[in-house]
Amino acid sequence: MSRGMIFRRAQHDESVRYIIYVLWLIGYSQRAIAAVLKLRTKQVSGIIEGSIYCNRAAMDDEFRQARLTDLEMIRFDENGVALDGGRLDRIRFVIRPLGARQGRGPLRRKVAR
Amino acid sequence: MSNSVIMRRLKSLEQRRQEAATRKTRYQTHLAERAERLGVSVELLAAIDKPVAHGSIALPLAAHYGRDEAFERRRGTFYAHMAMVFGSAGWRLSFYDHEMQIAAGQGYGERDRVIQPLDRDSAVNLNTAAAPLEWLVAKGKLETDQDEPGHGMVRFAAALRFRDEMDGAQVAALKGQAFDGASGGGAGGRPVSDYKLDCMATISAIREGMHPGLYRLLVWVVIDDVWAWEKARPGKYHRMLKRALAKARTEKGRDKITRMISKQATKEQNFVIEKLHKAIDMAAVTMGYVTAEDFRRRWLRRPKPASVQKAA
Repeated sequence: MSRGMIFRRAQHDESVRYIIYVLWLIGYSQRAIAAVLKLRTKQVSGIIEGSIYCNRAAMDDEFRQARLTDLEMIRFDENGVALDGGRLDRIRFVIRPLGARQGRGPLRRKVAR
Repeated sequence: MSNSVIMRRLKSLEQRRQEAATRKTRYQTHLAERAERLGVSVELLAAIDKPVAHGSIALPLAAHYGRDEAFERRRGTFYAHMAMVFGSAGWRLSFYDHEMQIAAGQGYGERDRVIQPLDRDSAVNLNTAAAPLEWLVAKGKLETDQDEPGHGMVRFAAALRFRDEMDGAQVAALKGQAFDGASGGGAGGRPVSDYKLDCMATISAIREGMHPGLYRLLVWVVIDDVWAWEKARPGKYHRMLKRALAKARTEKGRDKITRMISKQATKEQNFVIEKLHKAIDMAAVTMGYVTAEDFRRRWLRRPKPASVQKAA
């Protein structure tokens, strides 16, 4: 369907993108996020790659937490409406440590033993 | 681009942060200039500038003890500066420590005071070790996992009510001397008030409704402030353990027995406290705080006969 498209177009809802960013910064995998939002992994992957949070592996924990806090601070507008429509109400905006295979490093280290 | 709302908000957040930082730098420069001009320290000037929101509210003294250290230091520094300027001698900088030392001494019944709020909702710091009932409330021991959540507060209310009833049923209330009347008159006894009669009837009903031992425990703890669970004689097993402790030779064995003793002591203490729970609940049924059905469900559970269990 999108084969003939030249420009990138915002196909996904603002709320969906916000939820993806938050869960991604918390430290969940693209596959886990896709399962939550009932999207394909490739869709989630595309949204993340097109965002400013694409290089998660290069962030240290402090920086990642700061970005996550930023997202938490912009969550509500003046009328008190949440960007995610309240779906992240019970999510703590605290990062999880990345697993050994999620970090940046030589390929050899990433191979599961 | 695509991230319109999110990116816009992130950008404005960044802007607001920068503005706040600029404002802070400008204020500090201004403060330093003023301090230099007036010849005082920057900290003093900042303390003076700080708005005092609670200036018009009278707080209990206990609230003042609870302030954070930074505040007390700022306040103490301010008064020390004032004392220096106006030449008043003997100003104590660390009065906060002094007050806390007094507060932490021995209290009623020669027990160490425990200064803390009674529960999460209360605003005032109290000595929670002043009386056994209040101690139970503060420690959360008026409720077990066998009870419905929040039943501890019902028990506390019922116990306080029992105190009031007992107070009202006393033979003679506290009175001052009547100096205005003529002495030596034989006017006859005063009529007993209805309230006193009601109280006496309630107390009688409570007393008739329960085992005399339970009633005695209730009066001990709630009225007479007796720490009943500390008075109790250690049980047979407890005493055996104590004897074993005296005989133990190795350090390891002594440690183990000490741990067993403390576990057993807690168990015995909880036994007495549970009896007290039952006593308070019984009184609460009579006074209408708890329904008889609830009481039965909590305390009079019996296993069903074997025949019934088989059928089910």
